[in-house]
Amino acid sequence: MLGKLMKYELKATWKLLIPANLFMVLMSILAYMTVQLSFFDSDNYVVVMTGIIVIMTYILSMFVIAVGTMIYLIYRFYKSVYGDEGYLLHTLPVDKHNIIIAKAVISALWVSLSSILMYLSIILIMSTRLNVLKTMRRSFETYMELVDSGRQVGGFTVFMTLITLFIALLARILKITACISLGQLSSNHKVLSAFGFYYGIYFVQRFFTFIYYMILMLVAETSDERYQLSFLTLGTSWEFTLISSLIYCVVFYVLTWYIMDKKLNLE
Amino acid sequence: MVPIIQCMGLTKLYGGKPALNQINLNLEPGKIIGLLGPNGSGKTTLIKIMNDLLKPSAGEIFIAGERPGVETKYRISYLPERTYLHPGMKVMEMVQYFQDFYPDFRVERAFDMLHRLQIPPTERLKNLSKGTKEKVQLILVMSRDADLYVLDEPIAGVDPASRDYILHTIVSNYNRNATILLSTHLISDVESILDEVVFIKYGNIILQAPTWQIRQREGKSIDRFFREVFAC
Repeated sequence: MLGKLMKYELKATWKLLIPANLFMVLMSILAYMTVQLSFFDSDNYVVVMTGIIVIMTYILSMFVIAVGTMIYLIYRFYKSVYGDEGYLLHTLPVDKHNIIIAKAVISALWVSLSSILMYLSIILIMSTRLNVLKTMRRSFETYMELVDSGRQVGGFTVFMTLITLFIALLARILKITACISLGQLSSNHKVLSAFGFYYGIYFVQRFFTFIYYMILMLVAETSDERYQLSFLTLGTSWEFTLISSLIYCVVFYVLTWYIMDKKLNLE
Repeated sequence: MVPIIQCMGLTKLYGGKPALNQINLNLEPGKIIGLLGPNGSGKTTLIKIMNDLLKPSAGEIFIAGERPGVETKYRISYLPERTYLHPGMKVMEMVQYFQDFYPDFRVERAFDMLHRLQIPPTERLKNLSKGTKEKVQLILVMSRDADLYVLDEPIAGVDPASRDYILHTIVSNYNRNATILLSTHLISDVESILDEVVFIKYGNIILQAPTWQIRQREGKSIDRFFREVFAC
């Protein structure tokens, strides 16, 4: 049943998201050509203006698709689970676990796809003379330096960082599904309540992260100087993000499941 | 015989006010039963609890001896009082959807009914009128070989000319061992097909009896009797 749910979730979403992502690819190619053909160095005013319009449309399309994909998926979850379409979804002979997994995984795949396309697009624009792989490597190194300073970047670290990014994305999606579900418990202002829960949970998460950093700093302060940096980098390492994201995934998943299974009230 | 629907002290409160008030009900299988009551009497609330779309505040409900859940959803074919179809899908895609999820779905029956009602399978649902969408929903629901059909206001949104056809569709497309629970306030239209009626008022069951018994005892039609019981 999970496979069937995922198939229909994919079918329901690709009609909008495939064209949106294809448009982003098209705009990336146009922007790349604009940069490669040196439109901005031209003496012709029309050519320069065309270049500006292409780059502006490119930046705008990236922004709209990044934000729009997430908004569309949230809207789709709300409508298909707690709206009129929920009357069909919740009367299918399927477990609530399957519903949540299907929706969360398909949403995470769509956001991953648009994120990967966006990343490749930026790399393409930034790489002159088609040295794409070199630019990709440099971007990874810069990212790893930011989050994992002091450690060597190997294949395993890159692989685990990518897995971590996906789990962190799942945690973000499940957080939204949990907030929408919590909002349903309110008899009035369900959407407003969902926003309230989202910001409430956000502050609680920030608080936990703050406490964790404080503990790390205290441990670093009292430890040998040689190990101080190692303790401090624990706060930004992929291990920390992976463990915290896994915990958040479990918490938000259980919350969503509990409300959907035990407290469902389609009115 | 295990009742197809059994409610014991079933209560649903909305903001402290009871929409269902400690209902006790036993419905035997193999009948067409009318769940009759005016607007706001608790019909839809009871139906939603049967279908696991609402949780009761107190009491218990069993469908063929089981609490609402995955197993009971295999047994119940439910028609809600609203449109639950994905507007972007074609009629034939919805048929495929039902076939994928319900093992008791009969595709040829669905296409036969669509053909007889002249509904093009290739049409997208968003291009159909409200009444036609309701007909598509009814066709999908009645194309299953379920043990229990729960139909919430199946004729409310369609024109009077189509009502007879829809009632004929309901009666001629269900397994004789199955039960149909039909909620409506348009009693005169459905009266002829009902074996039993349940009257519900302000969240209380005030009467449960076979239709022949009411006609014999009261000497009047169910519609006339209903109007007297629920007179404002």
